[in-house]
Amino acid sequence: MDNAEEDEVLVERVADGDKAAYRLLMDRHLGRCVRLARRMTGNAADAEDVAQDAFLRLWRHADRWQSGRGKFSTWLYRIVTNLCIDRSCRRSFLPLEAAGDPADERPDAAEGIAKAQTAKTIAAAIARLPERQRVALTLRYYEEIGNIEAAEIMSVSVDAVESLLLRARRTLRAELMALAPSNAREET
Amino acid sequence: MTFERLIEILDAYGADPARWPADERAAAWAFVVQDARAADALAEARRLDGLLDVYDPGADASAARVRNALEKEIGQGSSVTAIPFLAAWSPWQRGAALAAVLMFGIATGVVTSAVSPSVAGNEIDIVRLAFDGGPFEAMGL
Repeated sequence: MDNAEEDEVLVERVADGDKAAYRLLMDRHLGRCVRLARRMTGNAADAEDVAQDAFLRLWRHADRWQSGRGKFSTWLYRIVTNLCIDRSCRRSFLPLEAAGDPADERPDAAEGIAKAQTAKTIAAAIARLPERQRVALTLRYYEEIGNIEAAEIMSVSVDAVESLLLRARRTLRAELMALAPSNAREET
Repeated sequence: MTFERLIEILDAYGADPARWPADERAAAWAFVVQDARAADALAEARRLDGLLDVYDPGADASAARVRNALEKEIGQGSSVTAIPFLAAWSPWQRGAALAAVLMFGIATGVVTSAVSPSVAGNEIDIVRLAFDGGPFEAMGL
């Protein structure tokens, strides 16, 4: 039995009120859902709300899961993605926490400050991407979800996912490459 | 594999072959090995990857907070397993309880439907969220 099949068994158990099965699904998917939402919304509070909402829906509505319509993980990440989009339609993207905790300002932490500033600049550039490009980048690059599953999550074609990624990364390259070390030459 | 297609792959997926489309991976890598321009393009893609990897917001603390909240939720007894006393009731007791609940539900529904919209209308339906396209569908491509 592979992971997808195990997920299906667990969801069926959750539909019967099985808390142990629910906790196993949290073990498997909650962290990724929070990361997905964090990158899509740009802040921890919204990400936590989205992940909690998605898992509450799972707890309350697991009986509506239809195993013939694809993988459970695809279904769950699609819910997370759509909740993020619903939320972003109501408010602007807030990348204020994207760089994580405030940098240590002690002199020996200069490198950390520089890295935090770079992360903040990158987060801001990602925040300025059109929403679908940001979602495609999050799913494919950061979460390493395959093209087919990313396309299912976004309800677009595989070609569209690639097109969105292409535009996202070209935009980011134009905006960010000045920050990259210039001596990083590939050795083949 | 052409140089133009390799550039598209690098621009879309980055420098790590593991992220490239599986059906083009071998051909793309063979092209990189044989073509100096392709190797330069790979290096450029790797520089961008290095920058993108700096952006790591971290989410462990958030995940822990969400988990705690969910544990409280499922601990409040909203599941079937949280009301085991029902199993101890006789069939007629369960039937009487069901009838009472139905009567109460009908009475409540008659009263509240006259004065307020359906509560269900305030919740985004999980099936629509998961399967009916949701916001992406409305945006088009």
